Amino acid sequence: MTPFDFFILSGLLFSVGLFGVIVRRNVISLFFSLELLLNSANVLLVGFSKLHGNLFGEVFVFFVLAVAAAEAAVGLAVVVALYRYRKSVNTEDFSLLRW
Amino acid sequence: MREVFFYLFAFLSVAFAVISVTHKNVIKGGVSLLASFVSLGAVYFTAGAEFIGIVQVIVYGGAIVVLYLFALMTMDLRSFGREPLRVISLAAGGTISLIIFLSVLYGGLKFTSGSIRTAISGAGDIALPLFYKFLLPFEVVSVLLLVATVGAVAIGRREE
Amino acid sequence: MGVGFLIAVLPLISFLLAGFGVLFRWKSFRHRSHYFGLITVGISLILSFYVLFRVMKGEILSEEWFNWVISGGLSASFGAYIDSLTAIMLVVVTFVSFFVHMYSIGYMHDDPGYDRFFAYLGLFTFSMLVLVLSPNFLQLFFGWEAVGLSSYLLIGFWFKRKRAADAAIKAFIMNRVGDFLFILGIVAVFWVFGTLDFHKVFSQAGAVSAATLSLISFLLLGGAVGKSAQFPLHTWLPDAMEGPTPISALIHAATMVAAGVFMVARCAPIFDGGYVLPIVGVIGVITAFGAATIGLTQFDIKRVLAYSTLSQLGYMFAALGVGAYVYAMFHLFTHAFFKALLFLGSGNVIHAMSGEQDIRKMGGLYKYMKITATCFIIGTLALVGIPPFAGFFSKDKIISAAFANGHLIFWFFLVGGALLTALYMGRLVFMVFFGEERFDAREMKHLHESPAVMTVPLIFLAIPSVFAGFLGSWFEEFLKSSVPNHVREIPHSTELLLITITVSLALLGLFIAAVIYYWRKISPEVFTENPVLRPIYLLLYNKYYFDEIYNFIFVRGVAFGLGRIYTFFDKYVIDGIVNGVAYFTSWCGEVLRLTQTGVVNNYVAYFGIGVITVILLLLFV
Repeated sequence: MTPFDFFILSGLLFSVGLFGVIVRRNVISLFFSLELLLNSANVLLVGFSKLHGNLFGEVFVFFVLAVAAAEAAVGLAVVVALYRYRKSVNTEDFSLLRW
Repeated sequence: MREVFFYLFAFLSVAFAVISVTHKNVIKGGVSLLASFVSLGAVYFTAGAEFIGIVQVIVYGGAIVVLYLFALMTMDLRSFGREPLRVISLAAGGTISLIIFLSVLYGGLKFTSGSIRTAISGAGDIALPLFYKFLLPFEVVSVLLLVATVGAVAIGRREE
Repeated sequence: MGVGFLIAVLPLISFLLAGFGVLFRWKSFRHRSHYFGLITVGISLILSFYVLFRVMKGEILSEEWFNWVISGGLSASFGAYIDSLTAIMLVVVTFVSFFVHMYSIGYMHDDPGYDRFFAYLGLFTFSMLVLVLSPNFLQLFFGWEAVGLSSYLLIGFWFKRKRAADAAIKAFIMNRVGDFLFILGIVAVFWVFGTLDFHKVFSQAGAVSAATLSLISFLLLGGAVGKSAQFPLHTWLPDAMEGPTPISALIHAATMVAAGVFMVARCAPIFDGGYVLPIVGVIGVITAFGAATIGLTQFDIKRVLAYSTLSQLGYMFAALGVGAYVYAMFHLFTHAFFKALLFLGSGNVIHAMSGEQDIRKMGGLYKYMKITATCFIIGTLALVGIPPFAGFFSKDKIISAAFANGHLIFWFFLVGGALLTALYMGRLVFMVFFGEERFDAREMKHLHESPAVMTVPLIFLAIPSVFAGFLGSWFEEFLKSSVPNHVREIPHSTELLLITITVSLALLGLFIAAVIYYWRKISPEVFTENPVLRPIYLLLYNKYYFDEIYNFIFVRGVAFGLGRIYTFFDKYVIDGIVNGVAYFTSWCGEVLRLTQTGVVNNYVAYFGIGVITVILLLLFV
C-alpha cells in the first residue's frame, strides 16, 4: 500500500467523474459524477494523512464531507425547482444562455 | 491482508463508479453510486482511518445518495427521455479525463519515499485536532450547513 | 546687434505692420501701408550707404544676432557678415526696393489688395537682406527659402486668376527642385567641414579634395540654377510675369534671381577648388543664347523682358563659369538698375494701354509718354551694350574674360547673344513706342504719362544705368577683397578688337531691328512664313517646347503615374489591411461565439482544458 496506490485510486475516480460530468446530459447523473470528484479528493487526503502521520488530512476530509452534503442539498433543491419549471432534467433544455 | 482488502475494495469502488456514470437508468446509477461510496468507506477502513470510513458510509451513503433517490422519486422518470449520445462529447471527455489521469499519476511519481502507516484513528483521535485546532472551521461549517438547509428549503418551495 | 540687424529688420517691421493691418482690418492702416514701406526701406537704404562707406575704408563688419541651432556638432546663429560683396548687394537691394515701393503707390493704387502688396514687399525685402547678410549657410538657406516664399506670394498675388495661381505654384516647385540639391549641398558642407560658417568653411577649403569640392559645388549649383532660372530650370520665370509688374522688376529682374549668382560668388573658394566651373559656364552660355533666341519671337512686352532677364543671368553665370566672379557681380550690379528700369517702364506702358500687354496692339506711344519712352530707351541702350551706358562695360568685360581665358566657343555664343539682344530689344522699342498706332486711341482712357510716383523711380533708375559703367575699375578693386577674379591678361589691342566686334554687332542688331520694325523695309513675315525658316520660328516661338516636355515627363508621367500607383496601394493594401483587421476581429467573434452553447457539460469540458493547460505550463515551462 504505497502512496502511489492512493494516487491511482484517486486519479481513476477523478477521471471517471470528469468523464461523467462532460458526457452525461442528465442533471442527476451529473451530480453523481460530481460526488465522485469530491470523493477522489477525499481519498487522496486520507492517504496523505496516513503518509505524514498526523490527522489533519482526516479532519479536512470531515469538512469536505460536510460541504459536499450541503452542496448536494442545495443542488438538488435547484434541480427540483427546475424540473417543476421545465418538466425536464436534460441540460440541453436549459441552454437559454446560448450564444 | 490489509493490502488485499485495500485493492479489492478500491477496485470495487472504481467499478461501481464506472457503472454509475455510464448507466442509462438513473436509479440504477444512483444505487451503484451508493455501492461505490460504501466500498470507499471500506477502503478507508483498510487504510486505518476508521472514523472517517464510518462517516463516509453514513453521510455519503446514508444521507446524500438517499436524498438524491428520494428527489428522483418525486419526478416522473418516463419524462426524462432519451439522452443523446454525442460522439464529440465522448471523445472530448475521454481525452480530457485521460490526460488528467496521467497528470495525477505523474504527480504521484514524485512521492517515492515514505510509506503508509496504517495507524488506526478513531473518533477520539479525530476529536482532538477537530475541537482544538480546527474549532473555528468546525463552527463555520455548522453555520454553512444551516445556510444550506435554509437555502434548499427556500429554493425548493412550491410557488403559491 | 548692429547696423546690419537694423537694415534687415526694418522692412520686416513694414511687413508686420501692413500685415496685421490687413489681417485685423485696422481702419487707420487702410491704404496707408506705403508709408511703412517707404520709411523703413528708405532708412535701410541710407544705412546701406553708410555701411558701404565703412567697408570702403577697409572695415569688415561682423555681427551676431542670436543663436538658432546648438545641437550636436552643429552650432549656427543668425548674424551679419558685411564685406565688400555684401555691402554692394545691400545697396542694390535697398535702392531698387525703395523705388519699387514708390512706384507701387501709383501702380497698385486701385487694387483692393493694396496693403497686402506692401506687406509682401516688406517681407521680400527682409528676406533678401537676410540672405545677403548671412554669415553661414543656414541663414543663407533661410533667406533663400523666404525669398522663394515671397516670390510665390507675389506671383500669385492675384490669386483668383488661374494663370497667376498656376504660375506661382510652378515657380515654387521648380525652385524646390533646385533647393533639394541645395539642401544636399549644405548637408555635404556640414559633413565635410563640420561647420556651416562661411569663414571657417572657406578657410578650410584648401585642405579638401577636389572631388569632394566638386560634389559640394555641384549640389550648391543646383540651388543656384533653380533660383536664377537657368537652363534646365528656367521655365518658371516667363510665367512669373503673371504677377504685378513692380515685383517683376524687383524680384525677377534685379534681386531674387540674382541670388544664385551672389551665392556662387560668395562660395567662390569651393567652386574654385573643384571641376564644376565649366558646367556653370556651359549652363550660362546655353541660357544666354537660347533665351535670346526665344525673346525674338514673343509678343508680350513683359515676356520679352523676362527672356532678356534669363539671357542676362546666363551672361552672369557664364562669367562665373570662366572664373570672373567679380565681372559677374558687376553685371549683376548694372543689370539690376537697367532691368528694373525697363520693367517699370513697361509697367507705365501697360498702365497707359489699360492693361494691354501685346506689342502687336501698341505703337507710336512716344508722343504720349515722353519721359517713360526716354527712360526706356536709355535702359535699352544700357542692356544692349552701347557705350557709354552701363551695360556696355559690364557685358563687355564678361565677353572679354571669356575670350581671355581661352573659352572661344563661349565667346562666340556670347557675342552672338549680344547681336540677338540688340535685335529683340530694338524690335520691342520700335514696336511699342514708334511707328503707327495699332490701336484705337479713343478707347484708351489712360493714354497719358504716368503720375510722378511712377516716373520719378524711372528717372532715378536711369541715372545709374547711364553712369554706373564708369564705376567699373573702382568696383573691381573694391570687390577683389572678398571675391576672386581669375582673368588672364590680354594685350590692349586684342581687347580693343573684341570691344569693336561686340559693339558693332550690337549696332548691327539695332540696325536690323530698325529695318524691319521702323522703316518697314522687310516684313517679319518674310522670316516667319518662309517654309525653310518656319519650323525654326515655331521652335523658338514655342520656347523649344520645354513646357510641353516637362509637362509630359514630370507632371503627367511622374505625378499622375505615381499618383495611380499610390492610389492603388492606398486602396488595396492599406485599406485592405485596416479592413482586414476589422474583418478578422469580427470573424473571431463569429467563431468564438459558437463555444457558448449554454450546455453545462461543455463548460465543464472547457474547465478541464484550462486545468490541463495550467498543469502542462507548470510542468514544462
